[in-house]
Amino acid sequence: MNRWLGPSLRRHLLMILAGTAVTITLVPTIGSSYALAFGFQFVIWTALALSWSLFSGNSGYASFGHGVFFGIGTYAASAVFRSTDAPFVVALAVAGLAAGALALLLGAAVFSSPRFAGDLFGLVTLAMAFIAVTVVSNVAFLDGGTGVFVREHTSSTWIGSDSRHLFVVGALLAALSAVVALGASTTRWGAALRSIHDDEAVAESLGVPTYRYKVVTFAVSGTLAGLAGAPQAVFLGYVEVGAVFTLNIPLLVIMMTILGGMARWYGPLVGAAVVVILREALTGWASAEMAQIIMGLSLIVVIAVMPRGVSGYLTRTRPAARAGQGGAR
Amino acid sequence: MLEVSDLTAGYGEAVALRGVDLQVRDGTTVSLVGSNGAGKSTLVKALMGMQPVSGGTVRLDGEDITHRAASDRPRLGMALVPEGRRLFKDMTVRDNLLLGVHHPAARKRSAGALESVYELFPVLRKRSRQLAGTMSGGEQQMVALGRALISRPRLLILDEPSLGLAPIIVEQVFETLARVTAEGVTVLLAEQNMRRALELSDHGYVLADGQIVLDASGAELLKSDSVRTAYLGDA
Repeated sequence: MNRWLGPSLRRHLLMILAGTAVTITLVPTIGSSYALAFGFQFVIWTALALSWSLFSGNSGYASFGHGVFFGIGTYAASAVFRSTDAPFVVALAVAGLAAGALALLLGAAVFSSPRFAGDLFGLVTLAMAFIAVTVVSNVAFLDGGTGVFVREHTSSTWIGSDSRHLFVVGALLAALSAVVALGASTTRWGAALRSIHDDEAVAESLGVPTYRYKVVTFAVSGTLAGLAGAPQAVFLGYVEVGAVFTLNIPLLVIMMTILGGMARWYGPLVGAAVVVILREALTGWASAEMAQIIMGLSLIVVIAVMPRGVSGYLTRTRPAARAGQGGAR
Repeated sequence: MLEVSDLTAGYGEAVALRGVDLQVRDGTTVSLVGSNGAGKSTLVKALMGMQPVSGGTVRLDGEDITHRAASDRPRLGMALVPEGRRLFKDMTVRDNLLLGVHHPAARKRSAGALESVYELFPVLRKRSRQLAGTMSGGEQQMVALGRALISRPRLLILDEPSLGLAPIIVEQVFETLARVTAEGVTVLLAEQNMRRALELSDHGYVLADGQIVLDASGAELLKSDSVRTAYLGDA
């Protein structure tokens, strides 16, 4: 822990950078728009799953509000495109800041009361999702219930002119989330979060300022989800409340983390890959409804057979590889 | 070092501590004995800032720390071995131990203390990458002790360290404790295992129904018949 840039941390960091570089280099060779759309979805879900598990997976405070931060990012970016000629980076920054600020305020309020410790936190985040839907539906500047056409504002800009650009942005955001997740798994910060998961009172007695850690990490998690909302707005082209704030988003993100497992930082990434591929394959093979049912069943099977998720299961069967690991998990 | 006066605490309407007075002198070992439900754990939690206090004061070296946050305790040089060990079960032994020096002040005091914990409990070095929750009760108690000792505390508080352990392991725990006290660490030991605790102690307090009912040297309390009566709650 906390051997900053120790050998294995450096190895994992290099892997993230190399993976991102290879992915981005290969983008121009992707011909079909279907493959691009699929790839974009994968990187966005990866960013969401990694950022959700950063807070909820590590600390054990399950949030059902991740879709709200993603959705706020989507709507904030749409608002920037609609009312200004600002470049994409500005929309991206506004998306991250808006979601991060909401997460910061919510975290600072909720965690200040011991009443909301544990499961009640999940309910509060769920309530926030309903509030967000209502607010966005009724504020004309954001949506007002009619939906927003993003494409007509971005078609002539860098980000709107080629969907390859979207994929590059998504891949970079996934890489950013991966670096943060890796950091949390190897540093004192991550250890403190995981101690909150197991026994908050004892963590506190050991000098872990649990309130500060929860508030800050929740805000970082929300910011990362909000950032992912910006390319999503352009990808959708037309954003509407029902699709953006659907509860499917937090549920799928939670499913990805459970499937992938938290035993290693890349667990949620593995889970995102499994879910995205499975969903695509099943939707093509059967129907969307059938896909939902099979996904639900496979989640139950995974929980029963691999309680520590796919990544935990794989590392358990490779004890030698585990013993060789330094600080990274 | 530690001075508790007229401390009261409770859970809602239920009063768990009724005006407790207690002193722990520098370098001594003090036992807090009493039956289950006498208030030992509540007192320990109150001392650690983990339980709201409704009245009275806790002073450490003269400084009033009654209402200081629990997370401030490592800076004050206090460390706790909680009842039931309460390890971080899904974390490795090493990460558990290192959380004992999470606080910057504790980290500063303890430079290289991970080695000294491994010297005290060699088995933990071998198991450093094992998940704490998968270890035996005795080994878990070693981790809990190590997690507290790694910060090189001036005052070590233990809450029922022998609870739920096999007799041979209990013996090991008390032997380790004797070595710790020999190094000059001040110890407050809340323990149901009265005989073993008092043998180790310079001074003992008997707690019954949230009050101190007896207070004498460890040796005296061991001989006294009134301890037994107080202990059984019909004094």
